[in-house]
Amino acid sequence: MLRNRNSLFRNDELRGIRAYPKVDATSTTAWFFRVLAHERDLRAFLARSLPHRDDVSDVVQETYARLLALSPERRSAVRTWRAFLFATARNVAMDHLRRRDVVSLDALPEIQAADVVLRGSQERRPDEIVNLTQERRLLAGAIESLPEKCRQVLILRKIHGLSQKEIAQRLGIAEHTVEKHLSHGVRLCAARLLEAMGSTPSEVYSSCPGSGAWRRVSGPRPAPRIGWLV
Amino acid sequence: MASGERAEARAADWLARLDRADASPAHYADFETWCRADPVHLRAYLRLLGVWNRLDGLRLPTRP
Repeated sequence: MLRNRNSLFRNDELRGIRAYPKVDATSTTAWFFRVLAHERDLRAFLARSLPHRDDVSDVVQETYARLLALSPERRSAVRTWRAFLFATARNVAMDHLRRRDVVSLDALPEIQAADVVLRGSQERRPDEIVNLTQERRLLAGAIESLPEKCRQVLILRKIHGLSQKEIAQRLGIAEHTVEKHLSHGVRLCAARLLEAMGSTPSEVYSSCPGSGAWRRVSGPRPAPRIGWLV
Repeated sequence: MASGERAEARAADWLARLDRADASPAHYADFETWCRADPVHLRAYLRLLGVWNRLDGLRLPTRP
């Protein structure tokens, strides 16, 4: 049993998003932890409300971004975080549906094949089979740009859904090495996505001081589809 | 290395560590301590977690 009094994390909270801490009223981030605790319910709600599965994480991320951008006064005025979270998510979802767009597929052989299988299995229309959302194209491009081994590990983990242990066995490398590749890979992907948005990580951090809003405040707005990358 | 980059590097390490099936309560306790040490840490983690979760959008369907 993983639970103990001193841990923020309960056993049943280790699934899905990994940071579901118990609320500690003395923490400066307690309000946000309180919000995170509702993520599973929020995702279920959004999955019922949105036509595309891919939209759920978009909306969740954008919702968090909006909550984090609240002023302290506004934040302290919130009485029921769960209700406020769901109301914010509803607004984000509405905005999201309004601006949803689909762009034609760029040539990305490995990911393209995966997409055809994925879409095909859901019996989408033929024109949908050869389309990716801009976000998926960006994500696929980010993975494609990784160094060979790193890319291989990330594809096995995130596209084929193998565990770290299974990947280590399949590739004949240590689990620790798999972990290193994933750590490196996710950072490179994040950097690559920011690059695609016309920004560098240091630019983002320099405009995001320790307190208050942490969304990018200078430079051109990123494309709406990737508004979740805060 | 700028502090933002350092936080991001550590956040990525935590992400990969907690993604392991054998991540222990001690790991989570250490992660929590790190998160609380500086708001920059949690933000860096959530930012990478966003990217990490988004990548699931490329997941192949599992075969029955």
